[in-house]
Amino acid sequence: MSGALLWLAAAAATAPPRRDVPVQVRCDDMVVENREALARCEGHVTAVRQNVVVTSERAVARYDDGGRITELTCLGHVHVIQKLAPPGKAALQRTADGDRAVYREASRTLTLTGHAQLQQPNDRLVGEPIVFYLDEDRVTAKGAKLVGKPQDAQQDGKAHE
Amino acid sequence: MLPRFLALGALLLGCGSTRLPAVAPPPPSIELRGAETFDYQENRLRAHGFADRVLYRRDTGDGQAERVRLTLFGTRAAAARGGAASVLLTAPLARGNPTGQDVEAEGGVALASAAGDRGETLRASYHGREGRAAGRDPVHLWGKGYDLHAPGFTLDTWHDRLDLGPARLVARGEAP
Repeated sequence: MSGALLWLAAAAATAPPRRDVPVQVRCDDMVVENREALARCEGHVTAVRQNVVVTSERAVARYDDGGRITELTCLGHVHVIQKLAPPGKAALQRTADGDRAVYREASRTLTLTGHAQLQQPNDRLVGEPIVFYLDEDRVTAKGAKLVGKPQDAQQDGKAHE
Repeated sequence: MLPRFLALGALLLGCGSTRLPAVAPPPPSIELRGAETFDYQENRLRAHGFADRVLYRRDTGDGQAERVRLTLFGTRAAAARGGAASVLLTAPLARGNPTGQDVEAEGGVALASAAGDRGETLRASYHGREGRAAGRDPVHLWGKGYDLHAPGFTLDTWHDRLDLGPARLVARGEAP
């Protein structure tokens, strides 16, 4: 079912959205271009927001007048780790890989494209864009193909938990 | 240029004298207290500086200023796009050569912009001919929405480009 939205496991946690969550960015070389209101990061980029860690080769952060990041674009071998800790259950994590990931502060989303794939404890999905809704702790993958789990292989675009 | 003429004059006078001193006297210096400077470009004030004490060596042109406060006023273009109207730089001590346009500030250099940005580092240098400021000590910058640490910096003032090397940035989320 090409083009269908595949809704993935929404974590049991239903905490209210947090409005003011810091984003930490580290890299080998950070250059701030004040005229364009952006910062370029090169080499071993690591961005952390709550339970999500994104690593990549380089990144571009756009910021507002107050220096708050409005958008962070990570490029090159992007790897995402999201740690999940459902109440009463063992801690899990999902990971994702792609060529490009864009974090948008306004929507608190992380959108992964370019050979994007998502790994969860029991399955692996290929498709894009993969969108992490960070405040809601859910992920969507458009036109995703479920792979890596023999009995479910080739299921295309079906809801999955 | 004036110090060179003075030095040349002193040399010529010395050559004309029948008695040369065994040891050259220390070079005369100028000491200013409460020195203030204004830098204009056309009608626009670009910078206003103030120092509690300034010492100037006529022979070399080297100067030293104590308790320096320098306010840099933003360009029209920066103001038009809502940029910082001014930046205040302070340092306990600054040394430099006005002819070379090189200044070294030390003892704790602080930056405060009208937009609310703040910065601190132990030492920093400015090289006017290259439009470049730099520091090799850890630098801390922070503002309304961010906190940034880096081991040093290079600022290209002509292009408003700041290279921080391996930096750690903490950007706050959307304002509540």
